[in-house]
Amino acid sequence: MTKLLRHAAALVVMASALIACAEGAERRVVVFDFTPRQAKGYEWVGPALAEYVIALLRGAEGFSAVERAVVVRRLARLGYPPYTASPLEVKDRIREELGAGVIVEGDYDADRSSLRFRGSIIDMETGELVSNLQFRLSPFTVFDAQRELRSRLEKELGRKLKNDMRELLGTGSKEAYTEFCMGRALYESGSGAEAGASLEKAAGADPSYVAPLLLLGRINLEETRFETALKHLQKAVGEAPENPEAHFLLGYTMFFLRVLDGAQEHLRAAVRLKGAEPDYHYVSGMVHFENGELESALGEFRRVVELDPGFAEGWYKIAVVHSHRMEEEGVRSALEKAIETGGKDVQVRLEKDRDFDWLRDRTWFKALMRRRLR
Amino acid sequence: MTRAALAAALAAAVVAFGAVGCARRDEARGAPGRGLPAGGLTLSQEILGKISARVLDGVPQTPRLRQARESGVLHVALSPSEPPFQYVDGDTGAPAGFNVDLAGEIARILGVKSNVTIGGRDDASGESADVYFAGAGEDACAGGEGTPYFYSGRGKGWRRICAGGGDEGVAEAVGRVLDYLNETGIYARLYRRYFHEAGEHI
Repeated sequence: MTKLLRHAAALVVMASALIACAEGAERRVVVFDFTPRQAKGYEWVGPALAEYVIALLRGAEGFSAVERAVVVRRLARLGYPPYTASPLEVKDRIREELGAGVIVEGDYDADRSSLRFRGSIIDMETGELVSNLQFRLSPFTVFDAQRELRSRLEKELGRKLKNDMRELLGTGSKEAYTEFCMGRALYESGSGAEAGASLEKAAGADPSYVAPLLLLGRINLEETRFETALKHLQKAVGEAPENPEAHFLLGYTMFFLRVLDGAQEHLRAAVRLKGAEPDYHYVSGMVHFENGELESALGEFRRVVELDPGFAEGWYKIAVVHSHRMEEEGVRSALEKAIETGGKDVQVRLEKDRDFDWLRDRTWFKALMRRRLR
Repeated sequence: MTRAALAAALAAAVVAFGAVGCARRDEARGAPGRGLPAGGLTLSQEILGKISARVLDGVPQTPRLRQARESGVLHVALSPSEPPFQYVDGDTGAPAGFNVDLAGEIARILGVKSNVTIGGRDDASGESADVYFAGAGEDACAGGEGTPYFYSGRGKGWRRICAGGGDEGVAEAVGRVLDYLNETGIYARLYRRYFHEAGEHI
């Protein structure tokens, strides 16, 4: 009977997946890093398991999972840096902001002999615990734990999930992946300098593995060692010419170095490969703006707010471009949106921004400045 | 809960969140959802924030510097047109030149937008500008020595960047950004762009 029920449930899942995904809709999931509790020296395991679940869900028809970087950034902004626990209500807020219905979260204890993992899939709309993903492995490797997670997800979803390490994680080398995860944990814990050695080992173990090259590039960019950043990022683009983040980081580095033509070339590539990323359009717009190419800049900023109407800075930049072209109606409508999405911060900025001085005597501008905002 | 019950619960949840947790396929890839004001929610903002924090580490947060950062605008006053240092671009009508780009770099690291006024030097010494550029041979900055950034080989001495009101925080920030521009070679690139190509010498 149990077996029968399981098969029936699986059929319902598959059927509902088909219904839910009609017209291109997908079930959107936010996977939070699993938090290390008693896991000194194994902090890197949590993100490794989370990104594996994300990769599995992204590869499963009918699901989409938010990128780990987006989730980590939002948590940090709310005061919860990586590797620290965050309350469920914070996770729910992020889930809601990201337009998802379900979260996957949990924690673990680990030492050299065992891993005790406690994870959950929760439907936050109903508050229902969809699934417990608890297990203990002794001894363990991160790959054993990933295999265990995949097996449990397959059972819960009633179907096979992808199982190609290179496809899911970007490398087929266990050594390269482990070193990368260790380096990433050091970087995300604020030890960027120490992360370099692990990341170099990862890149050495699998020269085609792009993730360590990207992180090495980013660390050097943030440390303002631009030439070294360029070296890593150019290598990343060479290895993976279809990787949008590699082009974006390379373009952004060139932007800092004031190599605007090179920056634009790589930002264009990033936009071509991942046109739905507002940040890529935003930086591309900035480069056009600094080059004096107002029409192109305007096009990029418009695309930013099409993709994310809540991107206040995008609206503000549209207003600035219109102001430079003395297009009052364009300024007015963009500022309305900037204030609607950015609130009082935008008003404060407008008070000082001389780009709008020519409009300060207009009734609509005064009304905008008088509007009471949070 | 048995596995079958879990699976059934999952199925129920799938149906439930089919309505609320679905995204169109084209929205699903990296779409950050609503509410993305400036300040660290995108990769570019995060990287810029880290560069800024690194360059400005330990700079005193004086009221003027804080106000500039909070308002998101840095007022920069430049002397009257003096190509290639500062001039109005004939095509775009916007301020351009070596000093304008330098002001842009300072603003970028502060995480703000630069508002440049050419010919606003008098206004600057009247305290309204956050930063003003003093030409070689001009009076020293009001309320401080300013940061020398360009030596004129024609015997006129150093050009300086001055902090409005002699503000210690702004002055320190300017000094730090100039160090950063020198160390990274960005200053040299700017210099070559405006002077080397023009056959200018200092």
